[in-house]
Amino acid sequence: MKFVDKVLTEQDIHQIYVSGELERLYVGSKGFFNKGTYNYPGLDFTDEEIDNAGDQNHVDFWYNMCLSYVQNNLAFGMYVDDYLVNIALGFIENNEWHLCNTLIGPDKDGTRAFMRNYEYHNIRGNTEKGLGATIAYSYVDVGSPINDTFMAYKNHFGPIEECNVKNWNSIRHVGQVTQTYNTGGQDWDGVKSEYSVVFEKYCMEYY
Amino acid sequence: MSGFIDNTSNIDAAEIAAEYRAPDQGVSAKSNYNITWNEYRKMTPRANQSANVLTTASSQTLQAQDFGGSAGFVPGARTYTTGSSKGATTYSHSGVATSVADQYVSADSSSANVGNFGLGSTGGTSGLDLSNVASFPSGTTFVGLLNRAVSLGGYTYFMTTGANAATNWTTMYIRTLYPGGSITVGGTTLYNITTTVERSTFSYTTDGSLQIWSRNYGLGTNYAALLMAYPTSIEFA
Repeated sequence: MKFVDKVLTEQDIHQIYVSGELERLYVGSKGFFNKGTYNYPGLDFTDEEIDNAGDQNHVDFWYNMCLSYVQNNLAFGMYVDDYLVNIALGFIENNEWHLCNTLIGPDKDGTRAFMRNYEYHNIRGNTEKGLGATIAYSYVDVGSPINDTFMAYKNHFGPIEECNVKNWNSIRHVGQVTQTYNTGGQDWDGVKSEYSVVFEKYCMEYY
Repeated sequence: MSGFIDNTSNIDAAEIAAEYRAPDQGVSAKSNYNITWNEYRKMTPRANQSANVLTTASSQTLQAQDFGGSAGFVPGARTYTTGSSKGATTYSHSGVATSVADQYVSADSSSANVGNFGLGSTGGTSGLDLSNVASFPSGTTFVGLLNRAVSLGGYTYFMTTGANAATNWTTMYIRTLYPGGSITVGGTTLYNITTTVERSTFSYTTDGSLQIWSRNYGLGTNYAALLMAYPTSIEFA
């Protein structure tokens, strides 16, 4: 497997959207959303309306989210054998990498085995470190199966010597954090003027 | 100010070159004299009054009149959010607009020039002359075509100054211009494509000097956002 990680540009996001790759990643990820843990924070719709909005509207939501991150923060795209499998959205502040959202789809062979490959994590870790990060934080929805995955990764990658960029042995649950948002008093279609969301926060060191 | 190619007058090669410079290559400008007729074929919103996909030079016969009522723009985007971390929600304006048109669309009073009017890297930010195209009167200026996206949908806005009736146009044809006429991703080739937009699906209003046609898209509607990701040619009829 050849892994290439890229800091995505605005034009990359347009192409990923037009080509259907974003939809592919969304479809690959929505099973996790549908577990009821990702609630599209701030959207002023019922759960039923959001569930029934259709894939295209959801893909457009993520398209705009990705546009926002490439314009204001960071978006990474991981390619396995030239095939996009992951988009990570986050930001670096005070040399801290903060991972906010991830879309993941299967590789060309239809599997997610790449996620258990240490090179996948090494390459991504090098991207983060290359941008100045000296510590990594991740935010996970309360109740999401990703919380269990993180601990499983710790057991899997921790003993692997070649997994030498991100120190999975160091991952720890910081606790729950509450993030509060508002539209600045503006009236945004379909968005609550003020809202709060609780996330599980994790911390991990780099080697 | 550049403008739409007037379909009430003779259309010559110089006029076509003035409005259709470089877009086939994306936003990297290309000298007018380097543009070949084959490139123009890929760019007009319609050929022989048909809004089909043009992929080869030999498969279509192109007439100068196919350029009538058309021009182009290079879209841009600006975003604002409720915050910078997980849980934030994004608002985006994508397309082309003067700062005045963009301000009308804004959820707050902010404004910015979005994208470039005209094709190639030399496009301006003050709009395109739309005089005498379709039923627009002399003095009409195209000042904006924007998607305002938020949550699970949004609004598409088309804006002018100087128009005098909701019925100044009937149909809009917008054509996405990929670099070189196509993009290939994952073994699939996507060619330039024209989208037909009917004015009857829009509501009309005015605000000061602006004339605004808008329609809701996304959740609860039958419409999607217009694609505003690549240089675009546009025609009104």
